[in-house]
Amino acid sequence: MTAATSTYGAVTDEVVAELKRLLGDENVLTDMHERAMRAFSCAPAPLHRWKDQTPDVVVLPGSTEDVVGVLKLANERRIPVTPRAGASGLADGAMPLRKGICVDIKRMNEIFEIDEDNMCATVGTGINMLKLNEVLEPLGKIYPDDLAGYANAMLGGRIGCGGWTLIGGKFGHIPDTVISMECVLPDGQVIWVGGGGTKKIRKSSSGYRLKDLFMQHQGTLCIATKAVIELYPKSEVEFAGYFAFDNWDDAYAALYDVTTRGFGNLSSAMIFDDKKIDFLRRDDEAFIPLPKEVKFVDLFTMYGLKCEVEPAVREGFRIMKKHGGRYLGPEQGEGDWASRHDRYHLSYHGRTPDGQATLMSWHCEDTAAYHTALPILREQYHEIVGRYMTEYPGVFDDWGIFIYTSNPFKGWGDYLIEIDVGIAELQYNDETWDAWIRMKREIAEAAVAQECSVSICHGSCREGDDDVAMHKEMKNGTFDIMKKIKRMIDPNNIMNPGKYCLDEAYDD
Amino acid sequence: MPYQLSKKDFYAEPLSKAKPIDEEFVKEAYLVFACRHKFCRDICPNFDITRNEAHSSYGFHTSILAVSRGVGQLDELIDNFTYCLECGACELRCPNTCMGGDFYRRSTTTVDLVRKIRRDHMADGGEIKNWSAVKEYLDEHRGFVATQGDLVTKWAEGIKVAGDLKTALFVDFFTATQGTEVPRLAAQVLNKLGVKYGIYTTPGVTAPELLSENDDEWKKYAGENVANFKKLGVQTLVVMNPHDYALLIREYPKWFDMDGIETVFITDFILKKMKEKGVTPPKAIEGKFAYHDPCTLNTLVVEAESPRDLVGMVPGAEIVDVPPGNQWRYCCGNGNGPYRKLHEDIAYRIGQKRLRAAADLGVDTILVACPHCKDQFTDVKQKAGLPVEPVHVIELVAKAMGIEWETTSPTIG
Ligand SMILES: Cc1cc2nc3c(=O)[nH]c(=O)nc-3n(C[C@H](O)[C@H](O)[C@H](O)COP(=O)(O)OP(=O)(O)OC[C@H]3O[C@@H](n4cnc5c(N)ncnc54)[C@H](O)[C@@H]3O)c2cc1C
Ligand code: SF4
Ligand code: SF4
Repeated sequence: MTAATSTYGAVTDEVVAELKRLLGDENVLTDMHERAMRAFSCAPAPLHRWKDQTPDVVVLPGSTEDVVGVLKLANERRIPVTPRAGASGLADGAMPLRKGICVDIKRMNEIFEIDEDNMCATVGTGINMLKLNEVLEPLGKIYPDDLAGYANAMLGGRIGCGGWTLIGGKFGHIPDTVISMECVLPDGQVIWVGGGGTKKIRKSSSGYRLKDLFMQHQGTLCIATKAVIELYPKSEVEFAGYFAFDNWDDAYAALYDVTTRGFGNLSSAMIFDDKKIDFLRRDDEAFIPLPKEVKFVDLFTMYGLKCEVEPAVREGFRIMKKHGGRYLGPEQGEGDWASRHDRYHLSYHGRTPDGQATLMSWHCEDTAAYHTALPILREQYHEIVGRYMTEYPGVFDDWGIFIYTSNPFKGWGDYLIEIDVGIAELQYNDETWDAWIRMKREIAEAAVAQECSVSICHGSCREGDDDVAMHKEMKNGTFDIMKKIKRMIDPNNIMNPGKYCLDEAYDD
Repeated sequence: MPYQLSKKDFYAEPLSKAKPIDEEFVKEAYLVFACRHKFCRDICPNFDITRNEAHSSYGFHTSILAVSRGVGQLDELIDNFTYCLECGACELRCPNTCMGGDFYRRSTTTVDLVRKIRRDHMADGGEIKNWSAVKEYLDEHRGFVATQGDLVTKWAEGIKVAGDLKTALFVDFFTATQGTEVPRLAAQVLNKLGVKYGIYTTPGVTAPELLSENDDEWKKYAGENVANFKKLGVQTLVVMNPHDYALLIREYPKWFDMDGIETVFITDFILKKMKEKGVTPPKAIEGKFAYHDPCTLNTLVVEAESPRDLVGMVPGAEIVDVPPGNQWRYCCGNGNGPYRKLHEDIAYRIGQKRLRAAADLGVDTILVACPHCKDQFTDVKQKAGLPVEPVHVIELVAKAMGIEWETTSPTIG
């Protein structure tokens, strides 16, 4: 019998009593509905399998010591543990596939220190970025993790996913903006990992750079409890310019030119493709209506000092114009950019073929691609989703593609290419769930066939993605090393078991 | 244009273990579950303290969806459904409301939902922990109905009330007995402005708590009120307590024809009259003040401006607090229902957080527009030893109009 398949320890009354002794009665939740609501994360979910992944108990630790106590107990009894932060993860990392203990870290949201001299802050990982920035703003500082899920994601989940940020072209992404972090290992050992061995040094050449190992593991190695994060001066100007294009080729060429020009202030550049524009037209409230002839839209944003941004914006305009881009005006720029955190979430975005609103939820495939793969993948993704739409009418819908810069601190090279899919989640049954997984798998395989990556930010730990990511994308030895590391750090496979195919680490 | 949310007929049917949850109700629950942004959770003043996401609009709706799928039982839900202040912030923050509005008849109505679950539970013979304190409070109100005519006018002793009921002051039991300074000073301000009004003397039981216990009884009182308004020829109803105001704006029109009756909150009314008559309060009150937007005005009916604008009329007075939009996440901790009686400790911590935010502005006074906020902050201030005094906007305005009031806070005059 392997560690992966042998029976896990049960959450007995005695275990619950011990958890209550460690954390206090009010922080150990056993009621069914407290547990049931932590069965899912954020993506369209197998509602028909709700009970199969409802945790046995939920704990709300308030400190590193609490987490140490919980993990030691779980490790001794071999009880599965799933960390849960904002539960906005779109790869469902916080879904407790093997039940057990859900460690909900939201109470660990303190700000321990704001160190303006060294431009960093030490915070608990249960903090949310919007709340943190409300405190930093009066000091003229920001933590620039400006993701689309800004209002709900929490730092622990950002670390768990190795998240991507809308404005990372200037400010970097989570692996860049988290300087170091405190992690509790499954045996209760507390370590602090950073550039080297200390907390506030960003770049060090001492030893192995373990920070990266404890980033984007989806809670399969440890629970991050504190972090030192990067502070930036708040930008004087945040410019967002939207440009209309008649065709893909011009929009694509303009994206290339603007990202390779060498701007120091380019925070992001992006294409909304024709299907995305059509989709956004369905919801007048969230999107400023565009004339019919607008097919594609390019966006670039520039953040920084006025004296730097103003001339750079002029040059950006020149590039867009050269490729036939028409400026859509400040109202579009300010309005749509302001709604970048709210854009996705009206469940009545779905439309039947005859145009009636229908209840659908949003899912986004977040593959990572380099520049020359973009046109190929765009066509393939629409083709794949279109096929499933024909086969399952009313269950799936193509909500268009976004393409977004993703290389930290520079515009060129890597992009997020995201196809958004509407799903009639309430209608899920075994058959449609299976179809959904097949669709995801095809998208993931298309990406890997182009030497691209299954995920840029959510993590490829979900059914349909994990197999392709681990066995195809990471086939050049990476997955083998991952398994060895997993088995060494988590010999009992208690940390978020079932994710990333890591059960295979325990095959004898 | 008053802000109104959908009336959902499926809320009327009591939930019961014996039958499946109505399909429309399931969709309703799904709409919040499916939102994914969980904006409603992170804006919630209760979640802000407990950090338990089951205590949020997202949590409530997800529980209902789970029960509809056979996961969990109805009677297990009740404890969580007590953790709601009925402040309405989550409703407004939800994309179903702020983007869809009433277009799809699917605005999020968390406040109605929690009230429904509580009363269905009690109607089914279930109990709610600490409800006896709520019941006692409601019984006190019920007892008052027999003598309300006298009690409701007692606060006005010695004040000349010269008008008829075309313009009627609506003063409930709580305000008439515990928040007396508000109607008393407001009436005197109106007299100074030369506005004629009468006092509506039979408000019945107005406490929103009743909607969590027995909505038929609440509707009986509300229905009697509407019939009386019409019989007495009320054209403008001037409301002192924003808890009543929110009910009159949000709930009454769902059940009764309010055509021909204009409902106005007291600060709005005074402000309009001052503007019409070109009056500015003669006495300057120099100072910087925090201001707490009551959730009843700020999120439940989305009419936050008039108390702020009225303060703006007072020479020398300046509000230095964050704007209404940034106050959605605040509540004084009292809640617009039974919350403070059910969760005294968390109510205190919510209030403490709010008062501390005011203290951080470096002021010694927090202006309020709600007698319950004043009551709660007075308590919290004492317990926490925070140096910020709650003062009603009407007290400030009365002072500026040269009206003396013995219990007016020394910090404003
Ligand atoms: C509307 C919307 C927009 C989004 N936009 C973006 C975007 O622009 N960029 C982007 O990167 N993502 C985006 N996401 C995805 C999501 O917000 C991120 O993946 C985010 O990192 C998840 O954070 P969370 O706090 O919600 O984590 P959760 O979902 O709770 O957890 C995510 C993973 O991290 C693990 N984890 C949680 N806490 C810890 C901890 N303390 N230590 C170790 N592991 C932990 C969990 O087990 C899980 O595997 C979006 C999501 C939504 C719903
Ligand atoms: S009404 Fe207020 S307290 Fe209740 S869930 Fe919504 S935000 Fe929270
Ligand atoms: S007491 Fe004040 S803040 Fe609280 S619910 Fe009533 S109006 Fe809102």
